[in-house]
Amino acid sequence: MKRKSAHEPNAKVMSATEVWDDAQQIAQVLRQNLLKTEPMVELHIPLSVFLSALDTFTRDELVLLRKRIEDRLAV
Amino acid sequence: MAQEQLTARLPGATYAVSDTGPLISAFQSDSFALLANIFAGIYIPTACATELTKHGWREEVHAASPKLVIMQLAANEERRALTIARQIAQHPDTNDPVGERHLGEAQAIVLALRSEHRDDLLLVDELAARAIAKQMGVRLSGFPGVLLLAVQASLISAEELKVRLEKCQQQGTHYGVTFIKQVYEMAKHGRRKQ
Repeated sequence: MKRKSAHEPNAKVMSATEVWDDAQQIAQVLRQNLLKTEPMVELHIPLSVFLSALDTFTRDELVLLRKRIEDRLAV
Repeated sequence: MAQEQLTARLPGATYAVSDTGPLISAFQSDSFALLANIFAGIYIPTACATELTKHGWREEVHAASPKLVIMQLAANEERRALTIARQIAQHPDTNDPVGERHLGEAQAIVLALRSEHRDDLLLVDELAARAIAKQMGVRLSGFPGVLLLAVQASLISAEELKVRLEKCQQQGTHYGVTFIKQVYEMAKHGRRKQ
Protein backbone atom coordinates (compact mmCIF):
# COMPACT_ATOMS: atom_id res chain seq x y z
CA MET A 1 0.00 0.00 0.00
CA LYS A 2 1.27 3.50 -0.83
CA ARG A 3 2.50 5.42 2.20
CA LYS A 4 0.13 8.19 3.20
CA SER A 5 1.41 11.72 3.64
CA ALA A 6 0.21 15.17 4.65
CA HIS A 7 -0.27 18.03 2.20
CA GLU A 8 2.08 21.04 2.36
CA PRO A 9 3.34 20.25 5.91
CA ASN A 10 5.14 23.61 6.15
CA ALA A 11 2.27 25.79 4.95
CA LYS A 12 1.10 28.65 7.16
CA VAL A 13 -2.44 27.97 8.37
CA MET A 14 -5.16 29.94 10.13
CA SER A 15 -4.87 31.10 13.75
CA ALA A 16 -7.06 29.81 16.58
CA THR A 17 -9.03 33.07 16.45
CA GLU A 18 -9.81 32.43 12.81
CA VAL A 19 -10.98 28.92 13.72
CA TRP A 20 -13.64 30.51 15.90
CA ASP A 21 -14.69 32.79 13.04
CA ASP A 22 -14.74 29.77 10.71
CA ALA A 23 -17.14 27.89 12.98
CA GLN A 24 -19.43 30.95 13.14
CA GLN A 25 -19.27 31.22 9.35
CA ILE A 26 -20.33 27.59 8.89
CA ALA A 27 -23.17 28.02 11.39
CA GLN A 28 -24.37 31.11 9.53
CA VAL A 29 -24.28 29.39 6.12
CA LEU A 30 -26.09 26.32 7.49
CA ARG A 31 -28.78 28.54 9.03
CA GLN A 32 -29.21 30.67 5.91
CA ASN A 33 -29.58 27.60 3.70
CA LEU A 34 -32.10 26.07 6.10
CA LEU A 35 -34.15 29.28 6.15
CA LYS A 36 -34.49 29.12 2.37
CA THR A 37 -36.65 26.02 2.64
CA GLU A 38 -39.01 27.52 5.19
CA PRO A 39 -42.42 28.58 3.90
CA MET A 40 -42.94 32.35 4.22
CA VAL A 41 -45.97 33.70 6.08
CA GLU A 42 -47.24 37.21 6.65
CA LEU A 43 -47.61 38.02 10.32
CA HIS A 44 -49.48 41.05 11.69
CA ILE A 45 -48.35 41.85 15.23
CA PRO A 46 -47.98 45.11 17.20
CA LEU A 47 -44.57 46.71 16.66
CA SER A 48 -43.93 46.74 20.44
CA VAL A 49 -44.30 42.94 20.52
CA PHE A 50 -41.81 42.60 17.71
CA LEU A 51 -39.35 44.95 19.45
CA SER A 52 -39.60 43.13 22.78
CA ALA A 53 -39.02 39.83 20.96
CA LEU A 54 -35.60 41.17 19.93
CA ASP A 55 -34.48 40.81 23.56
CA THR A 56 -34.71 37.03 23.20
CA PHE A 57 -32.62 36.87 20.01
CA THR A 58 -29.14 35.34 20.10
CA ARG A 59 -26.16 37.31 18.84
CA ASP A 60 -26.13 35.38 15.56
CA GLU A 61 -29.83 36.04 15.04
CA LEU A 62 -29.30 39.74 15.74
CA VAL A 63 -26.45 39.85 13.22
CA LEU A 64 -28.72 38.20 10.66
CA LEU A 65 -31.48 40.70 11.45
CA ARG A 66 -29.06 43.64 11.20
CA LYS A 67 -27.96 42.45 7.77
CA ARG A 68 -31.59 42.14 6.68
CA ILE A 69 -32.32 45.69 7.94
CA GLU A 70 -29.21 47.10 6.26
CA ASP A 71 -30.20 45.44 2.99
CA ARG A 72 -33.69 46.97 3.22
CA LEU A 73 -32.33 50.43 4.11
CA ALA A 74 -29.94 50.30 1.17
CA VAL A 75 -32.79 50.02 -1.33
CA MET B 1 -13.33 7.71 -8.63
CA ALA B 2 -16.73 9.42 -8.32
CA GLN B 3 -16.62 12.08 -10.99
CA GLU B 4 -19.55 14.50 -11.15
CA GLN B 5 -22.25 12.10 -9.88
CA LEU B 6 -23.83 14.12 -7.05
CA THR B 7 -26.27 16.08 -9.18
CA ALA B 8 -29.56 16.53 -7.30
CA ARG B 9 -29.08 19.03 -4.51
CA LEU B 10 -31.21 18.72 -1.39
CA PRO B 11 -33.21 21.87 -0.57
CA GLY B 12 -32.00 23.56 2.60
CA ALA B 13 -28.83 21.47 2.76
CA THR B 14 -25.34 22.96 2.71
CA TYR B 15 -22.59 21.64 0.44
CA ALA B 16 -18.86 22.25 0.56
CA VAL B 17 -16.09 22.65 -1.97
CA SER B 18 -12.81 21.42 -0.51
CA ASP B 19 -9.12 21.95 -1.01
CA THR B 20 -6.75 19.00 -0.49
CA GLY B 21 -5.55 19.85 3.03
CA PRO B 22 -8.87 19.77 4.92
CA LEU B 23 -9.81 16.48 3.24
CA ILE B 24 -6.50 14.87 4.21
CA SER B 25 -7.08 16.10 7.78
CA ALA B 26 -10.54 14.51 7.69
CA PHE B 27 -9.08 11.20 6.49
CA GLN B 28 -6.20 11.32 8.98
CA SER B 29 -8.58 11.80 11.90
CA ASP B 30 -11.40 9.50 10.69
CA SER B 31 -13.60 12.57 10.39
CA PHE B 32 -15.00 12.21 6.89
CA ALA B 33 -18.29 10.83 8.29
CA LEU B 34 -18.53 13.93 10.48
CA LEU B 35 -17.97 16.15 7.45
CA ALA B 36 -20.65 14.20 5.58
CA ASN B 37 -22.97 14.72 8.55
CA ILE B 38 -22.58 18.50 8.35
CA PHE B 39 -22.39 18.88 4.56
CA ALA B 40 -24.77 17.12 2.17
CA GLY B 41 -21.94 16.68 -0.31
CA ILE B 42 -18.34 17.72 -0.85
CA TYR B 43 -16.92 18.73 -4.22
CA ILE B 44 -13.25 18.73 -5.13
CA PRO B 45 -11.55 19.82 -8.36
CA THR B 46 -9.37 17.42 -10.34
CA ALA B 47 -6.13 19.06 -9.14
CA CYS B 48 -7.06 18.18 -5.54
CA ALA B 49 -8.01 14.61 -6.54
CA THR B 50 -4.56 14.27 -8.13
CA GLU B 51 -2.89 15.61 -4.96
CA LEU B 52 -4.92 13.21 -2.78
CA THR B 53 -3.77 10.28 -4.94
CA LYS B 54 -0.18 11.52 -4.81
CA HIS B 55 -0.37 11.59 -1.00
CA GLY B 56 -1.73 8.00 -0.84
CA TRP B 57 -5.41 8.73 -0.09
CA ARG B 58 -6.92 7.27 -3.28
CA GLU B 59 -8.76 4.46 -1.45
CA GLU B 60 -10.28 6.89 1.05
CA VAL B 61 -11.43 9.16 -1.79
CA HIS B 62 -13.01 6.17 -3.51
CA ALA B 63 -14.72 5.05 -0.26
CA ALA B 64 -16.07 8.58 0.30
CA SER B 65 -18.12 8.36 -2.91
CA PRO B 66 -20.91 9.38 -3.56
CA LYS B 67 -20.63 12.08 -0.88
CA LEU B 68 -17.32 13.20 -2.35
CA VAL B 69 -17.48 14.29 -5.97
CA ILE B 70 -14.61 15.19 -8.28
CA MET B 71 -15.39 18.10 -10.59
CA GLN B 72 -13.69 18.88 -13.89
CA LEU B 73 -13.17 22.58 -14.55
CA ALA B 74 -13.83 24.09 -17.97
CA ALA B 75 -10.82 25.30 -19.96
CA ASN B 76 -11.47 28.97 -19.10
CA GLU B 77 -11.83 28.04 -15.41
CA GLU B 78 -8.51 26.20 -15.51
CA ARG B 79 -6.85 29.29 -16.95
CA ARG B 80 -8.40 31.40 -14.22
CA ALA B 81 -7.20 28.91 -11.61
CA LEU B 82 -3.65 29.21 -12.92
CA THR B 83 -3.83 33.00 -12.49
CA ILE B 84 -5.16 32.58 -8.94
CA ALA B 85 -2.45 30.00 -8.17
CA ARG B 86 0.18 32.60 -9.12
CA GLN B 87 -1.55 35.18 -6.90
CA ILE B 88 -1.40 32.72 -3.98
CA ALA B 89 2.29 32.05 -4.72
CA GLN B 90 3.05 35.78 -4.51
CA HIS B 91 1.06 36.33 -1.32
CA PRO B 92 3.14 37.26 1.76
CA ASP B 93 1.51 34.47 3.77
CA THR B 94 2.84 31.63 1.62
CA ASN B 95 6.11 29.74 1.98
CA ASP B 96 5.99 28.40 -1.57
CA PRO B 97 6.54 30.88 -4.44
CA VAL B 98 5.83 28.32 -7.20
CA GLY B 99 2.39 29.00 -8.67
CA GLU B 100 1.80 25.51 -10.05
CA ARG B 101 2.07 24.06 -6.55
CA HIS B 102 -1.01 26.09 -5.49
CA LEU B 103 -3.21 24.75 -8.27
CA GLY B 104 -5.33 22.66 -5.88
CA GLU B 105 -6.32 25.62 -3.73
CA ALA B 106 -6.79 27.81 -6.83
CA GLN B 107 -9.04 25.27 -8.59
CA ALA B 108 -11.09 24.87 -5.40
CA ILE B 109 -11.57 28.66 -5.26
CA VAL B 110 -12.68 28.75 -8.92
CA LEU B 111 -15.10 25.90 -8.28
CA ALA B 112 -16.51 27.70 -5.23
CA LEU B 113 -17.04 30.82 -7.38
CA ARG B 114 -19.45 28.97 -9.71
CA SER B 115 -23.00 30.29 -9.38
CA GLU B 116 -24.30 26.85 -8.36
CA HIS B 117 -21.92 26.95 -5.36
CA ARG B 118 -22.81 30.46 -4.16
CA ASP B 119 -24.59 29.03 -1.09
CA ASP B 120 -21.78 26.56 -0.38
CA LEU B 121 -18.71 26.82 1.77
CA LEU B 122 -15.05 26.48 0.74
CA LEU B 123 -12.88 24.32 3.01
CA VAL B 124 -9.29 25.56 2.99
CA ASP B 125 -6.61 25.74 5.69
CA GLU B 126 -3.75 27.47 3.93
CA LEU B 127 -3.46 31.13 4.95
CA ALA B 128 -2.57 32.68 1.58
CA ALA B 129 -5.33 30.79 -0.28
CA ARG B 130 -7.81 31.82 2.43
CA ALA B 131 -6.84 35.49 1.99
CA ILE B 132 -7.26 35.34 -1.80
CA ALA B 133 -10.57 33.47 -1.53
CA LYS B 134 -11.91 36.02 0.98
CA GLN B 135 -10.93 38.87 -1.35
CA MET B 136 -13.08 37.17 -3.99
CA GLY B 137 -16.06 36.98 -1.63
CA VAL B 138 -15.93 33.23 -0.99
CA ARG B 139 -17.27 32.07 2.38
CA LEU B 140 -14.85 29.59 3.89
CA SER B 141 -13.68 27.53 6.83
CA GLY B 142 -10.67 25.43 7.67
CA PHE B 143 -10.90 21.85 8.92
CA PRO B 144 -10.45 22.87 12.60
CA GLY B 145 -13.42 25.25 12.17
CA VAL B 146 -15.58 22.32 11.07
CA LEU B 147 -14.54 20.42 14.21
CA LEU B 148 -15.31 23.45 16.40
CA LEU B 149 -18.74 23.78 14.79
CA ALA B 150 -19.26 20.07 15.46
CA VAL B 151 -18.51 20.66 19.16
CA GLN B 152 -20.86 23.65 19.27
CA ALA B 153 -23.56 21.53 17.62
CA SER B 154 -22.93 18.72 20.17
CA LEU B 155 -21.87 16.28 17.44
CA ILE B 156 -18.53 15.63 19.17
CA SER B 157 -16.97 16.64 22.50
CA ALA B 158 -14.14 19.15 22.97
CA GLU B 159 -11.92 16.21 23.94
CA GLU B 160 -12.75 14.46 20.65
CA LEU B 161 -11.84 17.65 18.78
CA LYS B 162 -8.44 17.67 20.51
CA VAL B 163 -7.81 13.99 19.74
CA ARG B 164 -8.72 14.49 16.06
CA LEU B 165 -6.42 17.52 15.66
CA GLU B 166 -3.61 15.62 17.43
CA LYS B 167 -4.09 12.67 15.04
CA CYS B 168 -3.62 15.07 12.12
CA GLN B 169 -0.54 16.61 13.72
CA GLN B 170 1.00 13.17 14.39
CA GLN B 171 0.59 12.37 10.70
CA GLY B 172 2.38 15.53 9.58
CA THR B 173 -0.40 18.07 9.20
CA HIS B 174 0.52 21.64 10.11
CA TYR B 175 -1.46 22.11 13.35
CA GLY B 176 0.95 23.17 16.14
CA VAL B 177 0.75 22.18 19.81
CA THR B 178 -0.21 25.71 20.92
CA PHE B 179 -2.77 26.00 18.13
CA ILE B 180 -4.44 22.71 19.16
CA LYS B 181 -4.46 23.78 22.82
CA GLN B 182 -6.07 27.14 21.93
CA VAL B 183 -8.73 25.56 19.73
CA TYR B 184 -9.44 22.95 22.42
CA GLU B 185 -9.83 25.69 25.07
CA MET B 186 -12.26 27.56 22.81
CA ALA B 187 -14.22 24.39 22.19
CA LYS B 188 -14.39 23.75 25.92
CA HIS B 189 -14.97 27.24 27.30
CA GLY B 190 -15.87 29.53 24.38
CA ARG B 191 -13.83 32.30 22.80
CA ARG B 192 -13.48 34.71 25.74
CA LYS B 193 -11.91 32.28 28.18
CA GLN B 194 -8.99 31.15 25.99
